[in-house]
Amino acid sequence: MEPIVAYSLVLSAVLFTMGVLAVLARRNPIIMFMGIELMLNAANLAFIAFSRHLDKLDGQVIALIFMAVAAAEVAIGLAIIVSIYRYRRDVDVDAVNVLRG
Amino acid sequence: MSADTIIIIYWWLFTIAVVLGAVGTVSLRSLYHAALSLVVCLAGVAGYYVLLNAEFLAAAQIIIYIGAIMVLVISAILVSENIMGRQIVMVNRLVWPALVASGALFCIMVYANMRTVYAFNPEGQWLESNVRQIGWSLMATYTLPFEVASLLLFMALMGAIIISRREKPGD
Repeated sequence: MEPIVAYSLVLSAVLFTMGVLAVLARRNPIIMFMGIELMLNAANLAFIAFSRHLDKLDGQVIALIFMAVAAAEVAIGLAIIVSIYRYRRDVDVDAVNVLRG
Repeated sequence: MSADTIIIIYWWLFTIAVVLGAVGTVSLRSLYHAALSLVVCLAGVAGYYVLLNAEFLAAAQIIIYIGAIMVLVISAILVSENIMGRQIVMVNRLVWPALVASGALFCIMVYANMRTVYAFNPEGQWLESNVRQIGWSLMATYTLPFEVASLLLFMALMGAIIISRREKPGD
């Protein structure tokens, strides 16, 4: 295994850990969304590292499709956050515990 | 300087950008600063894609993530600007269990990575520029996932417009 592939996998683990930490420990939903973006980027980095290691392009194509899915997820999530903010004037995730509008 | 030295210098640069950007995203108090720090991190990941021979993915990363997704996130921060100025409690009560859990997760991932013997592909199909190959495989092998992803994106954007639309009284 080439050194850059091995280091990319370790860096992908670092990114994923930071994303998990952002989702678990912060209480602002927009920061939690950024944590989800970090985790998706970690998965993409691992896909591309394995694509380089195996000399096959499938990992890059899957990473490209993941980017489209991440864009869809961010659009929906931010729309929900903005509409919660408009209704409650507050987006503390510990306080938003009622689904009925 | 030889080409290898330059590559190693860029490698360190991108690694520092990714790690510092990720740490800043998790730990900065201001929401806007955290978003800008995430931009630095994503740019470093794009640099890693270049080093891993994925130039098309690097361009897509910069255009989609930095150009579209982060602009969306920053405009959402601006719309809900109340949370920017006010001093709020940054972390919730479970910050130490969260630190322990994510540290354990990191150790498990690195340990599994060290212990695994990865397969080797003897018949590699690598070319120097693989943009043409990506286009061929999107249009030939992976046509169905490509179409499904575009349909999903369309539906998600329509849903986002409907969710965040301001309801007029009497509609």
